[in-house]
Order: sequence, then C-alpha cells, then structure tokens
Amino acid sequence: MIQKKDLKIVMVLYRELQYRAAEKDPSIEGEEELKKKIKEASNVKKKMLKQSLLFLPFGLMLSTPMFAADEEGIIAAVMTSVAVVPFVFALYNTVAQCAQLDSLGVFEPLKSLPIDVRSKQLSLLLSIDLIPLFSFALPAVIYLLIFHPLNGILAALWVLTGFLIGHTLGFVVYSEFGFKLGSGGSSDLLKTVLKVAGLIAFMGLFFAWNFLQDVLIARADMLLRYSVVYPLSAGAIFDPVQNFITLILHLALIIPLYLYVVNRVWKRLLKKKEVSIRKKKSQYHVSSKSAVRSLLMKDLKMLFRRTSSLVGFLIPILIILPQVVMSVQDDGLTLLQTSAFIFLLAAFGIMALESILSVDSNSIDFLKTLPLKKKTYVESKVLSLSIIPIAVSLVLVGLGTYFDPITLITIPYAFLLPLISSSIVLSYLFSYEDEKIGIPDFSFVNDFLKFILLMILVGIAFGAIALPLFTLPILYGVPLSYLIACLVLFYLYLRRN
Amino acid sequence: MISVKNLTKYYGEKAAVKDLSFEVKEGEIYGLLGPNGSGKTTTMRILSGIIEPSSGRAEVQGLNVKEHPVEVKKKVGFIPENPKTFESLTTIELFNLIGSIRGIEEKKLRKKLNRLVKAFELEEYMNQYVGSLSFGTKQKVSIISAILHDPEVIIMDEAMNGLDPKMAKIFREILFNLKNKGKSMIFSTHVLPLAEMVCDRVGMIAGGQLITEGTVEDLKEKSHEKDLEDVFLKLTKSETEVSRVVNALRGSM
Repeated sequence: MIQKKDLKIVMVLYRELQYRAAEKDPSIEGEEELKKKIKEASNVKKKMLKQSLLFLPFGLMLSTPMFAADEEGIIAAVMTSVAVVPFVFALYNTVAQCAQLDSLGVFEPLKSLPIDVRSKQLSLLLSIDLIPLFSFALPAVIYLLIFHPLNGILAALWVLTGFLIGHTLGFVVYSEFGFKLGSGGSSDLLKTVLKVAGLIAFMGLFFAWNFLQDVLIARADMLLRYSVVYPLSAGAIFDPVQNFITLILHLALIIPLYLYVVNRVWKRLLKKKEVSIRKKKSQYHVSSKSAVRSLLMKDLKMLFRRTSSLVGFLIPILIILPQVVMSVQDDGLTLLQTSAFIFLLAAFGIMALESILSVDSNSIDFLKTLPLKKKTYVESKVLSLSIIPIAVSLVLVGLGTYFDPITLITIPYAFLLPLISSSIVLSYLFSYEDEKIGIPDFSFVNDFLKFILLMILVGIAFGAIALPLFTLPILYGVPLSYLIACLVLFYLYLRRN
Repeated sequence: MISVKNLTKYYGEKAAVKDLSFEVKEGEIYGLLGPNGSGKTTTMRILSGIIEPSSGRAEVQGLNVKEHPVEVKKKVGFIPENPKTFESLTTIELFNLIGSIRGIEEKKLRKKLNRLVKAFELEEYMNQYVGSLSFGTKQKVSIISAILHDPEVIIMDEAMNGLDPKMAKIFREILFNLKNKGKSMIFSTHVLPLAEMVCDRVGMIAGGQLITEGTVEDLKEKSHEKDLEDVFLKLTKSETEVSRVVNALRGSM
C-alpha cells in the first residue's frame, strides 16, 4: 500500500531531481531564477495538469479518425495505434529516467537514513512524468466510453496496461542492458558489444509487433478482433469477453515481471560501486586530438558504455527501421524514397538530444574548469547528435544505390541534413548570451511544446531544401537543393561563431 | 600572479564573498583559511573562471576573470574539493581528453603524463574506469588533471583530501618544486598544521570577508598564540564557542 510517508519521500526526491537538473542549466541566471524554476517544477499537481493539457490536443489529433468512423474495424485500428503511444513513451521515459536517477545519485542521501525506501517509490517517482501521457489516449477512451461504454472501459484498461508494459519493459532494458561499472579493459568491451546487440534485438521485438500490426490492419481486419498481443489486443475491444481474458492474461504475465524487475532496478540503483583493486601495470595510449573530436569520442564512448542511454541515442534508427523494411519488401528503394527517409531520419534524429545532453550531467562542473568555449562544446554536441543519422543515412544510400544506382547522388544529404537539424536544435538550446557551458534542462516529455517548436524549425529548413528536389527535374532539383542545404548549414555555423 | 580587489559574490540576497581583497605573488603559496561557509570555495571558483563575481575585480596573470574566463582557465589548474568527472571513461581516456581540450601537444603530454603517473603511482589504474577508483585515487587523478598543462596558477580546494601520508608528502614536494618555478598557488585546507607547513602567507576569511593576512609567524606574533589553530579560533571568534560546546558535550555524552 502507498502511504503518506511514501508520497512525501517521492516529493522530496522529485524536487531534488528538478534541482539537480536546473542547477546545471546555463540558461538559468542567478539564484532567484533557479528558485523560481524549482518551485514551479516541484508543484507536481500543477505540472501534471499542465502536461496533461498540453498532450491533449495531440491525443485529439491521433483519435480524430475514430470520431468520424462508423465501422468497428476502423475504430479498432485507431485504438490500436493510440495504444502504441503510451507504451512507447512509458518505455522510453522509464529507461531515460532510471539512467538519470542513477547518474545524478538522487537516492544517495537517503541510503544512510533509517527510512524504508523501496522500489514502489521508484515507480511513483517515475509516474509523475508518465501519468500526463495518458492524455494522448484520453480523447479516444472518452469517445468510446460515451458511445461504446463496455468497450470504452476495456480501452481504458488497455491503455493503463500499455503503460505498465512499457514501464516494465523500460525497467528490463535498464536492469539488463544498463551500465554497470566494471573495471575497464577488453572484457568490458566485449560485454558492451553484447549488450548493444542484445538491446537492438530487444527493441527489434517491439518493431516486429509494430510491423505485424500494420500487416494485420491492412490485410486481415478480422484477425484484429482476435488479437492476443499488445498493442493489437487494444484494438480487439469489440469482442469483450475474449478481449477481457486477453487483458487478464497480459496482466498475469506483466505484473509478476514488473514486481521482479522493479526490485532488480532498485537494487541496481542502490548498489555500491565496485572499487578497483590494484592490478598489474598496463600499457596506456596517450593521444591528443582536436577538442571537438575528443569531446565527440568521449560522448560516443560514454553512450556505448552506458547502454541504457543507447535507447535514446539509437531512437532515430528505431523510428525509421519499420518503414524502411516495408519499403524494401515492397518494391525496393527509389531515389525519392531514399531521400525522404534521409530527411525523416535527420528530423527524428533530434530525439536523441536528451541522451546526448545528459551524458555530461554528472561532470559538467569538471568541464567548466577546462578552457572550453561554448562554440566548441556545441559543435561537439552537433556531431554527437548527427553521428547516428549520418551513419544510418549512408547505409540507406548504399541500399538505395543497390536498387537504383542514381540514388548515389543523395550522399551529400546523408551528411548535410543531420548536421542541419542538430545545428538548429543545439543553436536554439544554447542561444543564451553568456559564454559559459552547461546542460540545458530539456526533456521531451516535460518540454513537449519546445520539442514541437524545434521540429517546426527543422521542418521549415527541410521544406526549403526539399522543395527543389520534389518539384524540379533531378538535373536541376538536386544541385539546387544541395546549394540551399549548404547555405542553411553555413548560416547556422556563422550563428554559432 | 593573482590580484583580488573588492571582490563580492551574491547568491540571491546572501553575500558569499564581500569586498574581499588580497594578492598572491609569483612563486608564493597563499593559504586561504576560514570556517565552513566562509566563502573560500566561492573565491576559488571565481578565480578559476568557473563562476562570475557580482562586483569587484579578480585578475589572474593580468587577465580579468570576468572578461576572459576561457583564457584564465588556460593559465589555471583547479583542484576541486569533490572531484566529479567522467566516471565511464578510463583514467588515460580522461587525461587524453584534458590534453586535447587544453591543446597540449601529444609528445609533451606523453612526457608529462609518464612522469606524473609514476610519481602518483597510477600506472595500474590507467586503463580502469575513473568511477571504479577509490576516493584517494580519484584525488590523485584530479591533481594530475589540474597540473597536466603546466599552469601558471594552481588553485587547490582541500587538495590533500584522501591522500595517504606518502602521497601527501610527494604532493607537497611537487608544490614546493612548482613554487620554485615561480608558480602562484592558493591553498585551502581545514588542516591548519598542513597550512603552516605549506603556505608562505595565509589569509583568514569569515563571512566572506578577509579578517587578517600575513605570514604564519606574523599572525602568531600578532595574536600571541603558539600555533595557527589557536590563531584561527581566536580570529574567527570561535574560541568561546568551542569551549561552550565542548563543555556541553562533556555533560551530555
């Protein structure tokens, strides 16, 4: 049972979390502004309400096709797609938050106190950011509750179950693939490689579901009614008896898994770090490179070593993968399809922003002692944010060239577009006048409006670049498009200087 | 050379440092002493270019810290009280990162590192994650990180924390060596016998203000006390308070 004392501890921890994030934010000037920000962020009820209201219009947009539908099949299909959102957000947010809690050491001060701090407080703490996400599904659920009450109740239960599944799988990702500090060396490298492979395979499972959903919705409407796996099962609400049994089965599986894994995560967060013992003298490699390159390498090393952060870092791949697979399976990739995927990849690449920024959350004070200019720091972050979209875009160009050799001309996009989107986003976040470096306090869930604004800015730039490509003959369209891209990138570079 | 004139730093309405003035000459180790919360760390963070002063002037090697924080950081090596760095980098990766950001030439970096790593007996830990090191070993890493670029000015906030007696002695020798090379140093510690041993002059601050400064001998003479600890307690007006608390504790424990 949740007691008043538990809530009090959760509030203290939440406030602490807000404080630690805000004090590193260079855009916050002075003690007064910091206090104001903490006070605002610590008003949990107000914040949850504000977030819920913010997500509501997007929930309405997602659910609109349902309001005009008169067929159960369409309602079921919309419900299925709506149910995916809380699942994805809960999974992502749980992994990201756990990694942050771990690196910020929020639980440290409680360890020595005679307080019964348990795993349920961890879930409560994370749920503060998760509960407003229910707004994404709220319009669809309310619509169903009004017009199809019984099915509406099932839909609401599925959304909640989706949260629990996402939250639990987020814990699984963190506890099984998360960073556990070893002592370094080649065995840790092997572990890292295995963890990354495991993580990609694990995330692939989710996309296999997604792929299955698309195939089933498109080709076998009847099958949808008898779906037994979430999120397809959330669309099978018009067969209430069977669907209820499916729901119970889901809960019967996920609740024990949740109880098991939440304790593992909790133990992991509380675990004392291993202290290395003196080993044999070993050779070490001294090297001095450019500051930007060194900072980029540092980010990559840290991200790949903290595999829990990889979920956020690899998110562009995870978003684009199902669509690419489907296109390849249909007729292969055309020049325009490859270009479109590169544009999408570059735009969604900014989703890795949270991981890229949080990698320095524990060490920003150390970086501040070094003669590091804001410009250099931002440039390294632009490269860190671009590297995955660039690498995946190059693979796409290779794949597209295999199907249609002319696709090779899209190579410059693979470099230019991710650099442009990353530059726009980071120039915006680091646009404060001061020269000091820091970590802008930014998260997709809490700063959703800011995220939408950034996507619009990227969209405007990409729109200008894409216009000649999609409207003029290739001979003129492609060079003109590259010229515009180069000019945009040059402008963003000048702005940083 | 360090010059501090009428330095003030406010956190909200509270002044952490108030109208503070002092100078540290070339080849001098200046002890900054004071009770907890007296403004030592704030002063040292300002001088390291990490935070800006609210008013007043602080100069390092003739550079105003407010106007040229990056240039100041190039000339300063700062050892913080609680070193927090990249825990998932190995020790050598961290040193390479610092070398790159500070623009140290590879050959020079190798030479310097080899010498310091040997002196601090860190050879065994170079390929291990910084996060897996003990507190004392992390402190050694922090010291090397601060002096790797041969800074003109070294600012140390409780730099001897966690060092065993052998390492503390080696570090003291390194400090004297750097002093002989003309480096200016600020040394903050609560271990007053250590300050007596290391510092050429000391400045005592309380409530963000300088209450006295001079050589250890001068201060002893002026306050008619035998050691620096008694001078400190007397000047920070802690003597009576200490006696009262000690007596109260005797009665209650």
